[in-house]
Amino acid sequence: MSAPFIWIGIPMIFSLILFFIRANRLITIIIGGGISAFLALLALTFKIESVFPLGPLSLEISSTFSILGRNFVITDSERFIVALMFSMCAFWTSGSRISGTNSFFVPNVLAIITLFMAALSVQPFLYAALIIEIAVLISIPIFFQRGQPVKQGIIRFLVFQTLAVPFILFSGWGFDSAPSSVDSQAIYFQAGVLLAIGLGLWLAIFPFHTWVPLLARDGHPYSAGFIFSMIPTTILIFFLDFFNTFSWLREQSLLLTISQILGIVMIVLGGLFAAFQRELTRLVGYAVMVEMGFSLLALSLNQVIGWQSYILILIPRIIGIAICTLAISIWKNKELNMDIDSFQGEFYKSTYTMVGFLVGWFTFSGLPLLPGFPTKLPILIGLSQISISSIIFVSIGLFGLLVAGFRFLAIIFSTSYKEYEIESESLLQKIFFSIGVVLLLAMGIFPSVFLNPFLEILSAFANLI
Amino acid sequence: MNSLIDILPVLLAGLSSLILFINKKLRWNILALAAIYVSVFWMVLQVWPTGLAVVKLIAGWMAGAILGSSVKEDSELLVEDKKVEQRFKLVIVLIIWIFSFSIMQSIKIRLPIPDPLIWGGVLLIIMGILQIGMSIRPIRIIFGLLTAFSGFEVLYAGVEQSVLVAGFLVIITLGIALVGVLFIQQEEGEIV
Repeated sequence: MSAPFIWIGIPMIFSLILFFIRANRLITIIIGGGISAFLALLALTFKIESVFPLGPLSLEISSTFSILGRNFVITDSERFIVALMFSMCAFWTSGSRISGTNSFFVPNVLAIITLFMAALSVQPFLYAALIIEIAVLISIPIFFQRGQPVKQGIIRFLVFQTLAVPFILFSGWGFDSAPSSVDSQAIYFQAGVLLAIGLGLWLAIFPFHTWVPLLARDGHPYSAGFIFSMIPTTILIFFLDFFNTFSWLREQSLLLTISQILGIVMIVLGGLFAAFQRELTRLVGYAVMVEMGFSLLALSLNQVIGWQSYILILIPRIIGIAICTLAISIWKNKELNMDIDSFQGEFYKSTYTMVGFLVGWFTFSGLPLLPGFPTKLPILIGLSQISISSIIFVSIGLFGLLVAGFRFLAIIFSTSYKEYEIESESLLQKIFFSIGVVLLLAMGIFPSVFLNPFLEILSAFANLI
Repeated sequence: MNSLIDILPVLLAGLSSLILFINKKLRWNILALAAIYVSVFWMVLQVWPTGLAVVKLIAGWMAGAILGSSVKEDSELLVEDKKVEQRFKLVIVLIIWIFSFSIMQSIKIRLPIPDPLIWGGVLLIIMGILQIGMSIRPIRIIFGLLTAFSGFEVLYAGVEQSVLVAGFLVIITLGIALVGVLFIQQEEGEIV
C-alpha cells in the first residue's frame, strides 16, 4: 500500500460517495469530517517507508504511486503537511452545518483537499498547476446560494485562477529547457516572470487582487473563507517547493525585492481599504490581502526566521478566516444587513459569534496575546534590518485593520442591553466559536507550545533550514 | 514558407472565434466553438500524432455539446444581436488582430514551435480574453475561457507531448463546460 493511495485515493473515493448522498447533510458532515480527522491522525502517527507488524502480517507504506509515467510521492517528511491539510479539512467540514453552506460543500471540500494533496505530491511538481485548476473548478458549486444568480466575484475567481495555469505551465517548461539552452540566463528570467504572473493570479497578489473582496461579497462567506485559506496555503507550500528545489531562485535579489514591494503594497492597500470599508463581507477579503502581503514579506526575507514565519502564519490565518467567515455566514443567514452600522448592539444578541469574529479579526491585525502577533513580529523584525521605511508602511496597513476592528467594536456595543432582544445561539455554534477562540488564544499566549510543532512542516524543505 | 494547408486552421480559428465573439445566438456560438476545436485539432496535428490530437477535438466538441444541451428553448440566453454592438465588436477585433500580429515575432523568438501554432494560439488566447473582458453573462465568459484555454493548448502542444498533460487538459476543458452548465442552471434556480 502506498501513501498517495491512502491520502489521495481513499479520500477521493469517499468524496465521490459523499457527493451521491449529499442530500443527507448530517451524514455527509459526520463521514467527511470523520475521515478527514482520521487521515490527519494517521499522518501524525504512521511513518512512511516503515514496516508495521499487524499480528502475523506486516504492513509497509511506500511513498510512491506511479501513473502514466508520473509519480505521486508523499515522503515521511511531508506527513505534517498531510496532517495539516486533513485537520483543516475536518475543521472546515465540521463548521459547515452552522454556516448554512449548500449540500455540495462537504463532498467538494474533501475532493478539493485531496486534489491539493495530489498537487503537492505530483512529480514533476509543475503538473500541480493542472490539478489545482481541477480543484478550482470543483470549488465553484460550493459558492452558490439559494435563489441567487451567479455573481461577478465567483466568475472573476474562476477566470483569474484559470488564466494562471498557462503562465505556470510555460514557466515550468522554461525552467526545464533553460539548462540545455544557449541563452539559459534569459530563459530563466522569462520563466521567472511567467511564474511571478501565474502566482500573482493564483494568490491574488496586486494588481490581480480584485477577485478577493468580490468573492467575499458574492460567494457564500464560509465557502469563500475556505478558498481564501486553503488555496493560498497550498500554493504557498507549493511555492516553497520551488524555492527548495531551485537554489538559484533564492539568490535572485530582484525577485526578493519585488516580493517585498508587492507584500508591502498588499498590506497597505488591504489595511487602508479595510479601514474605510462599510460592508462586513468585503472586510474579510481585505484582511486576506494583508495576510498574503505578510506571506510575501516572509518569503522576501530569505532567512530561516522568514521561512519559519511563512509556515507559522498559515495556521492562525486558517482558523481566523474560518471563525470570521462562519460568523458572517450566520449573520447573513439571519438576513442581517451587512453594513457595519446596522450591527448596533449586536454584541448583546449574539455574543459567542461576535467574540469569535473579533478574536479572528484582531488575529489578522496582529494584536498582542493573539497568534497574529508572535507570527508577524519576526517578519517585522527581519524587515526592520533591511529597511525602516518598509516598517512604517506595514504599520499603516496593520493600523488600518485595527481601525476597522475598533470601529466595529464601538458599533456593536453602541446600544444598551435589552433582555428581550437576546437571541439564543445554538449549542453547536457556541462550541465551534469557543474552540476557535480558545485555539487562537492558546496559540497567541503560548506560541512555543501550540505553534512551534507546526515547524515540522519545514522538514520537507531541507534546503531552506 | 508555410503551405496553405498549414495556414487554413489559423484562418478557421480567427473566423470562428470572431463569430463566437460578435454573434449572441447560442446555436451559432456552439457551432463556432466546434469549429474552433476543429482548428485546434488541425493545428496540433502538425506536432502531435493523430491519435493524441483527436483527443482535443473530441473534448472540445463534448464541451460544446454539454453547453448546448443545457440551454432550454425558451431561455433568456437566446437573445437577439444588436447591429451597432456587432459593428463595434468587429472594429475592436480588427484592432486586436493587428496588435496580435505585431507581437507574433517576439513570441516566435521565445517559443520554438511552428509558426501556424503561434499564430493560431495567440489569436485564440487574445480573442478569448477579449470575450471574457467584454462580457457580463456567465455563459459568454465560459465561451471566452474555453477559447483562451484552447489557444493555450495549441501553444503548449508545441512544447509538451505528455499523455498525462493531455488528459488533464481534457478534464479542465470539460470541467469549464460543466461549470458553465452549473452557471446556467443556477441562473434558472435549478441547483441550490
